[in-house]
Amino acid sequence: MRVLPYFALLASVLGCTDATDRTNGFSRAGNVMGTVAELKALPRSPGVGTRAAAEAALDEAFGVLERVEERTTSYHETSDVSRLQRSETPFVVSDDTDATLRLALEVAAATDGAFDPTMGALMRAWGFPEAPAVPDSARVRAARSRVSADRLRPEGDGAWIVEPATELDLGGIAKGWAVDRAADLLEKRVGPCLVNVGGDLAVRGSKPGGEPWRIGVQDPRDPSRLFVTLRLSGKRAVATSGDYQRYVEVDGVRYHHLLDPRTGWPARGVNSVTVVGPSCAVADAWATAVFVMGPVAGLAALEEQPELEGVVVTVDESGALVQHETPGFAAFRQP
Amino acid sequence: MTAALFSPRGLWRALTSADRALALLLLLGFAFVGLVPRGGGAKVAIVSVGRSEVARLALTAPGTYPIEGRQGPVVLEVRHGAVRVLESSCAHGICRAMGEKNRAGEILACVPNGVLVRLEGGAADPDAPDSVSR
Repeated sequence: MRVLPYFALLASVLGCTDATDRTNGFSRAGNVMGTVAELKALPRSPGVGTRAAAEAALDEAFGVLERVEERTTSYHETSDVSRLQRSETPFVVSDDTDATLRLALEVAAATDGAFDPTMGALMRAWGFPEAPAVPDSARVRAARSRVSADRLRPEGDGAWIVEPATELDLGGIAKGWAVDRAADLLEKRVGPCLVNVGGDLAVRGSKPGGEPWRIGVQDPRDPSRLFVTLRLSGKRAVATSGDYQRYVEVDGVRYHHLLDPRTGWPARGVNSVTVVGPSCAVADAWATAVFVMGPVAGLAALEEQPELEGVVVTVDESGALVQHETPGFAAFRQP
Repeated sequence: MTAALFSPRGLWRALTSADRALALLLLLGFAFVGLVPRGGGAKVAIVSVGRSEVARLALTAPGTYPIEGRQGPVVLEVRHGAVRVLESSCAHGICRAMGEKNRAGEILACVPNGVLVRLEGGAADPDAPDSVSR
């Protein structure tokens, strides 16, 4: 009898500690795909061997990110994309590349070319990502003539062909694809998780007690501030495209990396777009497309996608943010 | 007797002197945790270049700390319990624009230089988002 109160108190202390461990989980950060990746995983069933299993899963998830990068980057001569571009006959690509190319063409078709996976020549003309500079109009026109999703075609069984002088750029979708695959792996091997690569992120499940993941979205004019916090759970992803990510300023004018495939010049009228949906790859591509299309046409196109919601941010003359959102976006906002 | 334990008076009477002392210590401990300001206050900045950890900076030790990145130096500054990128050799200075970080779990990065700074230690901020889309 005398020991019962003691154990009652001790049990309460241990219970608090155990709950804290399940909330914190395991995390890893590192550089991959030219940016910073953060991975968090919450063990579904804490117990013996949990830490070792979680760390192994995080290692594998980073491996997935690196694998997708190796296959889809234009910067390595041995990547699928580089070899596809050099091939004069149909070229069989990996499953990652095949799926990314298919998704890219679907979004290109759904956005009337506002998203285009063949922007490589234009991006290079502008010097993105490493050394942007404003090219002359003739150079933009020449590069623009080599851009069109019609220059890329599937030939069946994982084989693809591109027309000569076409340069693929999957930067606007491959990162999202990698995020999705890494999140799938972590959810299967560990439990609820969050994967963020360069600001494009996916969550799976929820935190202990059914608490949704809290995702902040950066203010396009102040990197130290958030303009909205979202509550996400289940299978959800968020991707943001902004004019502050990569740019060069000349005579007070910002020339950013979100080029309009139809003109070859940076899209105007929008400062950032955030899209929420079940797939980070799709959200990634649509965020780019909506940015290019502008707040009116972009939101209208987004509203036709049943699984996507989003917000377009513009800045008015006084410098205040103006948010234009799809009807269902409010459901994700933290009150 | 068992029923009596479930009243505060009955519970107190059931405890020995040692039990009472332990209970008081535990209650004082919980009270202390409640009084400590929640959130903020990371203790250390762990600096990596690529996959190699190169430095651990105590956020209680103000100063500037040059880190050799892939393209050149990145200078970190610790002050007021926070860390920021003071100078970097990268072209765009996105790392410098990240500002000061002082909460556990926050990250600074100079991607062209492969420099990653991760803050650890201290209490997590319960109001902070789990991640940021940017």
